[in-house]
Amino acid sequence: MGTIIKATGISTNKNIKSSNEHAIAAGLQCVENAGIDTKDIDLIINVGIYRDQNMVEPAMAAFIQKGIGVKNDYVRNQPDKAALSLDMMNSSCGIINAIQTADAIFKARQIKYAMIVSSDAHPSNKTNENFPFSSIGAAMLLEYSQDDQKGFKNFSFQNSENSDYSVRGYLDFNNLDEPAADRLAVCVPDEYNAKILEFASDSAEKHLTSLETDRKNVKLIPPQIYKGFGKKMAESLAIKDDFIPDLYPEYGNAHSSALTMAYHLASDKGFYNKNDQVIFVAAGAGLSAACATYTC
Amino acid sequence: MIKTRFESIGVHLPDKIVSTDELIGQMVPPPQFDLEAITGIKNRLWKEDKDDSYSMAIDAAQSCLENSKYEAADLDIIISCSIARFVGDCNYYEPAMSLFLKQKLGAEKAIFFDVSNACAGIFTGLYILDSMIKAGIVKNGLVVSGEHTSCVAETAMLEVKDIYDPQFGSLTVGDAGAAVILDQSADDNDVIDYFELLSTPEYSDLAIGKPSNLSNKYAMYASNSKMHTEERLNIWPNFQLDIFEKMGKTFESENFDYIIHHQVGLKFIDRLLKIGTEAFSAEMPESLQVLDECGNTATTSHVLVLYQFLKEKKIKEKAKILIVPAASGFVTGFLSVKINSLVVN
Repeated sequence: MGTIIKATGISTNKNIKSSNEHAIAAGLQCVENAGIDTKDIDLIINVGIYRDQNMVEPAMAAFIQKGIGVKNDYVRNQPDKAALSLDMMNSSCGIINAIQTADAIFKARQIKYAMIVSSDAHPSNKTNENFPFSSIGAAMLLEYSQDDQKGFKNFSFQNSENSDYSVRGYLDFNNLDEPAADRLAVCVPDEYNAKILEFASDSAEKHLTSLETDRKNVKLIPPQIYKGFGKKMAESLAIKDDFIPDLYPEYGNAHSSALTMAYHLASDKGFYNKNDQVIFVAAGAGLSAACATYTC
Repeated sequence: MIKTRFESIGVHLPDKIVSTDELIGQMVPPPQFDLEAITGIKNRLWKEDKDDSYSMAIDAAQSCLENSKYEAADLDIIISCSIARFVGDCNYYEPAMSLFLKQKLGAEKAIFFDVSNACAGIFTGLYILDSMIKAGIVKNGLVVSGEHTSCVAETAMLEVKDIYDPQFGSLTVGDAGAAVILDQSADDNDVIDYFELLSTPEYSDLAIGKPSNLSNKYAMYASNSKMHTEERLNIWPNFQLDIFEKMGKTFESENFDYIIHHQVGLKFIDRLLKIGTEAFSAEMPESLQVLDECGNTATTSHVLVLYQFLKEKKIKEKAKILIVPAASGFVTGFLSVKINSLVVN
């Protein structure tokens, strides 16, 4: 029994400036790709970080659930199982936390499909040169397979002892430059690019070593923080993967959507085959890193 | 199947209290409504200037650990669930608040992430943790929240004009921290019997927390008259009745000793109790509440009630409690928990 990816979807339309709209567009594409009925989705986890208008309530997942059309209401004797939606936030690593959470809920409760959506956008819904992340969305539909060999296994998580070199994203109520609904600060230390590569590589190294992974026969989905990040990481890990997804040149830093998007685009090219072992590595603010091994 | 239990709980209660009279007295011009009569709230907890979401969450987590057999280093996971994530005057998106908590508490091996689900945040965190323990992924974990909600009350004091104002409900809120450690149940006297949550987002735009349209603060805009219709409030009993039917249970046969609703207002709770009585065709158990003295403390409200009643030794031995969330989104559900050895110091 294992949690497997049923389908994925992405939203890269540059005319969409809203975080929620990106998540909904990606979710709808994912549903279409999966060929399922939305009433069979029982769990929606939104791992996006930067939200429209700096909203804090309700969960953005509520708007996304409604936008995708997943059991918007509940009536007595409803034949379909009720759905739960929630926001989960952990920088770019939220996707791995959410997959592990969905895996736990598949095992502990009877649910059919879980969807993990993600999107980021500047809260003003306008292009902002100080916002280092792409306005983009992604969705991943998970199901529980009876096949014991398939799916996500072996999750690992690391964080640095302190957050000295971390990206920090926040709404500062002492800064009155713009209306608070449109305001955002994202501070990226000068050392961040070097430190996050080192940290992500070390974390992946621990993951691969502890599992005694055969590095000649593994595929890597690395963080997408800057151009060539994955290649440098693969070199340090001695992974002989001929195709390392590198989204940055075309899409920029897709942040919370990076791994789903990388998997989606590589799958579209037919890159993953049955029984392939794929290592998902996320890294972001904290510093934090998260790894998971996926058997196709 | 493994079952879980409330191993320990803890809270942060601000020393500062703001009475409804005091709050109304600061509004210019003075409002023409009787807030205390409408809501039943006499006082609300109010954070001190030095405190924020983070410090109140730390305090609640430490209070919880003091009541626990676990040390911070034993924790397998920390889930932070506050609505806003204030450190000082900044609301953080990243790094996760749960990472700051992990670093400060010294919970070295803990997995961490934040959950956000309006006032159902702690329930959502507990739901995930309960599932993770059952799935064998972790053995224990801390679900924690520090709520700096008085910021929306401050906005409402400046902007509310009358009882129909969408920020009216913000005058009821208070600040607090709350934390719960779950682990595997050891016997039938301390156990979560069943736990279900659902989201029905048809009317998700009826309650939105975001920066004010008029001032540099957070505001909460809620259309309570549309949100709290009979039909919406009936989602809870309808959901529970359907699950009960599948489980072969009835409300009456469950013999709950107490019920804890979200601490929105006395009339809101009374309406839910009436709706529950009619829908389940059963007497409601004793309703526990602290809202008259604490206000609506958002995600922390149910834990705060449980803590206060345990502290005052008003919970009977081998108690069975039904806890019902109600949150923007709209999120509701039910948690049935048996409590016997849970103590607070």
